[in-house]
Amino acid sequence: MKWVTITSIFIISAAFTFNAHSQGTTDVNSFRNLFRPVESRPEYSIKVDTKNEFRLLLTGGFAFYKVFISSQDGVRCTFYPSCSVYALNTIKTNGLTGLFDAIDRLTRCNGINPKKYHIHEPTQRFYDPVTKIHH
Amino acid sequence: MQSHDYQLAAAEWERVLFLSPSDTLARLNLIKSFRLSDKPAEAWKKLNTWYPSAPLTKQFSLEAAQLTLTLGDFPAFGSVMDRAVDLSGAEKSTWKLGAWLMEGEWINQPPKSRNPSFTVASMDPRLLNIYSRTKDINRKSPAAAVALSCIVPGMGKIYSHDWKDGLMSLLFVAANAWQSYRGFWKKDELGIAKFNPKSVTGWVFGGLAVGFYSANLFGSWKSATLYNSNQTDRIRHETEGVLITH
Repeated sequence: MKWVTITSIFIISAAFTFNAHSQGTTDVNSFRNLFRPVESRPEYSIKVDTKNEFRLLLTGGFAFYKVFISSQDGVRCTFYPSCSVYALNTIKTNGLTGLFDAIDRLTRCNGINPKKYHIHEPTQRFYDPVTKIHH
Repeated sequence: MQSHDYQLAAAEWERVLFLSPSDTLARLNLIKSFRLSDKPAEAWKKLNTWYPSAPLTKQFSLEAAQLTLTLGDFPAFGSVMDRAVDLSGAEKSTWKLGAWLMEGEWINQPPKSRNPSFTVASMDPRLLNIYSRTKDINRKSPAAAVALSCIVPGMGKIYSHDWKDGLMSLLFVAANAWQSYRGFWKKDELGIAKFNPKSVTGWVFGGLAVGFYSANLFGSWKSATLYNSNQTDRIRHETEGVLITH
């Protein structure tokens, strides 16, 4: 008898509570456009190139890193664009020299030399864009 | 224009010019409005349409000089100076000195003998101060930076005033090389170190060490190049601050 009473009281009170806080279609619709997704265009495209083995290794490695590893964590790189995006773009822009540029970027990714870089305002990270290397 | 809304001002001056196409003051103000609303190319186009090769009055000469320097078009600046008939010799010298500083070619001359091809007789002490400072700026040789990094990893970056990056390069190369050495040379039961070429650890860390070493050479070259470019940029910005302020 005691459990029946307790259960009944819980159900009745819960019903009132849920009713009081439930959202109708109107409520949902009125808030539907309150938060708009941020339109962002990444500075890279994940396209695995299968034309030769070296490109497959690099682009496949990048895609794997971006999809399975990088996406599981917040922003950790001190630079904008991040080291992985920088590596991809510099290799695309500068070829083999870009590979050395990318490795050099990894050794600089520590934040101990802040005066060397400008701040990228939207991300509040050090701005170090890819540049075309003139030989 | 007084409220610094130069984009709106440009639209207004275009309306004025539509009604009175030969109004010189409106032309001048339109060019100025375009320049101050970050459209120097537009302003330069207008100026060339109205005055393609004719001698320029003082106000137009000053506008044209500022525009060409903003656009970084130094040959056009030379042509503007030739056409600036109303500018005095000292004024022309000031602007030419500004252009010489902004062009940044002085970095390739030896420090103490950095002199333009014309006589420096600027009236602006701030510009003269910038000019005298260029003589104390040392250019860093990218080749020397690479050579230094060949000998000691990171030394080229230290030479280019990036000593923190230099130390990090040294750390990366040294740590990986050390791990590689430890992988290849292992002690046997008798305590004698023996070379093991089949060590995976040795090859992996050796590969990383070679990668970081090569990247350090490239990084040193980049660091020296960036140092030179930063020096010329700083002088360019300071000169811009003196010449292109109003």
